[in-house]
Amino acid sequence: MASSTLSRGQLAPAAALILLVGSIGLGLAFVLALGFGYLPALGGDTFSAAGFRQLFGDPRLLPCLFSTMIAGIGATIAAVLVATALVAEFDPMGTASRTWPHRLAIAVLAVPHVSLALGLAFVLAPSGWILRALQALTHAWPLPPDWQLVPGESGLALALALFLKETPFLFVAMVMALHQIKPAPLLLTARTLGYRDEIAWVKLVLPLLYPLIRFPILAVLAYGLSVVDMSLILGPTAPPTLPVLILRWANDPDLTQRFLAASAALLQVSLVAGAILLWWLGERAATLLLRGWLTAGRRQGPRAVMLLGRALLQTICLAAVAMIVAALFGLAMWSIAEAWRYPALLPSGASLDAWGRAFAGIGAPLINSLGIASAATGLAIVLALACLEHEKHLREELVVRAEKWLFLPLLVPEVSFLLGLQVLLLLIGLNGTWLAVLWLHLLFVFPYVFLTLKEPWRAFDPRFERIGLALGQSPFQILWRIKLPLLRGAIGWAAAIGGSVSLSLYLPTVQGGEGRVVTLASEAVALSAGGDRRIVGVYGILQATVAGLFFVLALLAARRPRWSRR
Amino acid sequence: MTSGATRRDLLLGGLALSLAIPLGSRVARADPAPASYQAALAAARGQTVYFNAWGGDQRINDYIAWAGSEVAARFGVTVQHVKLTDTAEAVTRVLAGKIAGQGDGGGVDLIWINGENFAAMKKQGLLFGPIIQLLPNMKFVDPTTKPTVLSDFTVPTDGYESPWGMAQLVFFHDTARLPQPPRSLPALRDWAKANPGRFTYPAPPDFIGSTILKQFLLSLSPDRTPFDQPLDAARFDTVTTPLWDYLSDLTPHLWRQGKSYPTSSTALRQLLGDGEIDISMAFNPGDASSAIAQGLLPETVRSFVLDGGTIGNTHFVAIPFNANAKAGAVVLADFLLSLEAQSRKENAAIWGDPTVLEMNLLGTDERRMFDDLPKGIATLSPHELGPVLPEPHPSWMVALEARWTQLYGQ
Repeated sequence: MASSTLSRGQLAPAAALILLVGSIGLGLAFVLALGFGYLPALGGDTFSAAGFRQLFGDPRLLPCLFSTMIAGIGATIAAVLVATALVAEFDPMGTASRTWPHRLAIAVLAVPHVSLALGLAFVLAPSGWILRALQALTHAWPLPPDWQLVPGESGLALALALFLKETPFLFVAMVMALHQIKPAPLLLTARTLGYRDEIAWVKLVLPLLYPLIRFPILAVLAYGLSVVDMSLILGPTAPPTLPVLILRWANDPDLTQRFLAASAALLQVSLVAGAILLWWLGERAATLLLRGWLTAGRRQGPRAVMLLGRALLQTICLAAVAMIVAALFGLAMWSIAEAWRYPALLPSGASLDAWGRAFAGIGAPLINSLGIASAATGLAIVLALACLEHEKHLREELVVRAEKWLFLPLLVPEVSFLLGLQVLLLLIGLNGTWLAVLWLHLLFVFPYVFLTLKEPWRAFDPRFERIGLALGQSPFQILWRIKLPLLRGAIGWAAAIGGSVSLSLYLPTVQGGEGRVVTLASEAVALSAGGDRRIVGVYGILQATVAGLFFVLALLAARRPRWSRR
Repeated sequence: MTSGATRRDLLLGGLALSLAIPLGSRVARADPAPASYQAALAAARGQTVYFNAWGGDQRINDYIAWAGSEVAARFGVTVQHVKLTDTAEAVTRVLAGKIAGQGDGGGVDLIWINGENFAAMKKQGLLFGPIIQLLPNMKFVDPTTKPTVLSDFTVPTDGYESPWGMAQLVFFHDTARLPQPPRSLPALRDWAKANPGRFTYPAPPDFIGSTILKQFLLSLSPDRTPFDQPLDAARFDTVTTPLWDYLSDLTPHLWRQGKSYPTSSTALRQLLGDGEIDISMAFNPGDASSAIAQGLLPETVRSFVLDGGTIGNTHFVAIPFNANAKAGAVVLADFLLSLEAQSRKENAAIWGDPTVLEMNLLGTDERRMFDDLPKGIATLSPHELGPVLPEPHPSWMVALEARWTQLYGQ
């Protein structure tokens, strides 16, 4: 076989790399050209730094960067700390995937970002649920106060929402990583040496765990700095966060503002890169600072600190769960409320009017949401399986190196390369089509699907395949009749995760669909500005329900038949 | 050659093919510009019209959905409402299409538009038309009594947009908390000082936010003649000083001390409904009544205007030059002007947006379709609405927005 051509084994990984890296590279190339003032169609036929000059001369830039960083970095630090504490407290061995925090975390994972943000907006508002409850108790505010519980202007409200959504994600990622470490013997050894379990976990297990969850953490960091949909609902307004500002410039009727938008998008990329660098420096610093303590051999910790930490953790968890439940419950209440004015704790009456009105127009978004989620997830699973099935034909270091690139879409700010891809879509006449939305969704769905499938696939006992080969089955028959049935649980998980990612995507839907291909997520954000909380409630609840159903159905469909279970 | 290469070629070929064929959903089909309404009717059957209209108000969305189902039943035209958060999005799409050389088969068929967006589209040659001579229902529109139906923010429409509704800036107050609202700008400032945190306006460039800037400017300016002309940059500072002085006086007493603003007029209305503020505003005199009817505002809300008049204008629909379904768009535009659609639109229980039709041109029965409409408890009579101030030239709005952003948008 000629070495210059792709072998069969390289085909699928190459296709995946072309799809992901190629799309993002193309998008970024367009942004780069635009950011430096080059796009002949827009009248920019020389490279210039005018876009950057305008950007750095804009008085909004500093406050905007500040709130963006508060939200993105603050939420990540809080989520990492709390998720680590949760794992240490509830599942230090990573064995019990059926603990209640784990189930709760999975449930929160399935809640779309937009639904949670819409619900939180009501819970936290000066006329919202928490203030109404305080008013009912204290009668201190006959009128809603002119301050916010969690100030939206500084980015704190957005940080809170991100924290609520990302902590469960990191928790699940850590529990999955713990499976690989198998900490039980380590802890047993430490215990025989007289270490307290918690101390031993931090000193022995955490240093092994951290490298495995570094990537999810960085993905959370990048997402928090680049999020658009939640920021539109909960973020600051004057000025908004950087991603929202970029979007606003990109949609300006004055098309030359796209140069400015692209310059800002490049700044956004630098911001994320800088934050990742900062995080890495933080890691170094923590290693240096803690090295002495880790190896000093102290076996006990101050008891008071332990108790205090545990109490704090329990308080945070209770408050977080209460807030998520209140957010979703508040949305549900609004969707059936007649009138619900401050300071009433409950609506004055119930009515299905909003549901009736919403259902008249729900057909297209619902069908698009489900169709695109199914197609993107299905394609991503096929592509991921093709990659995983063929990777044994490749050199291992190549696999390791190539694999890193597959996660690029989770680190590069979506607002940056989507801006470039939007121009590309326009040039090839694909803008505003179903196919364009599917393509953009696939960029985000594939990494999650691949991430979910790779461990189970690699852990699959190769003897099954040898038995199949010995019985004269073709590789495809082995895949179809042996591997897929045995690994259907993993595929179900991948479908559940992929589907919920697609169902929650806002920006790729808007950039690819241009309003002509609408989904529940894009409609929910569009309606959130509309001032009718009842309709917002309907869409928020509907989106959460559809995502939840998709999740549960995917898991149920992949369940092994009862007779074959261990 | 190996089988691998063949497979790769197939893959790349397939990729190229899938990129080239947009799944048949938007195959560019040359839509000959309709020469008459009859021709449009014939060509429109089976077309899908992408109506790009601000989608921030569910009542309006419901109305557009109704109009869509009517033209589908009567003329076989499918209407898809593309819900915009800002009309500029649609302008951008048309302009981007022009730059990409998209002569026809564009994705925007009809736009709900006026003001600076229209001025921009007209100037750049982005509109199809003139269209009003194609619309039979234009016969009920009279520019002599409503001059703004042909003059959009002082810019002549030249027939490139079809009038859809009339608007005048109106303020709302909750009588339960504020029985006597301030009816002049000095009174508003004094009241805001005495009641800090109870007044705000949407952040420009939101439509209503920008209108408030223009309204304050007109109310505070003894001489309004400069605003009928395009912006004179040299005189901008001189003539707008009263506005910025007033705002610097008022802003510390606004909701959240003016450090944050609601993003839209509907968000503003929600704040009034929530009791976070005492005064809100809209461009639709029937807004409060229909919001009360839908349970969005308490029944104690009433309307008021400022002494000396408030800004009034007309909002329109227009067809982009590269619209894919021009005939369908013409049919929809004419239906939106029909007696039935206009009367339903003015109904306070549905939308409450005043008609552009001239009552004197209607027969007795036709007039009854409007006279018998419920006006709504919070709607002012034409007499109470007071004088209508004309919009300044659109270039003023752009300059005012930029300065406001510099001063308060950070």
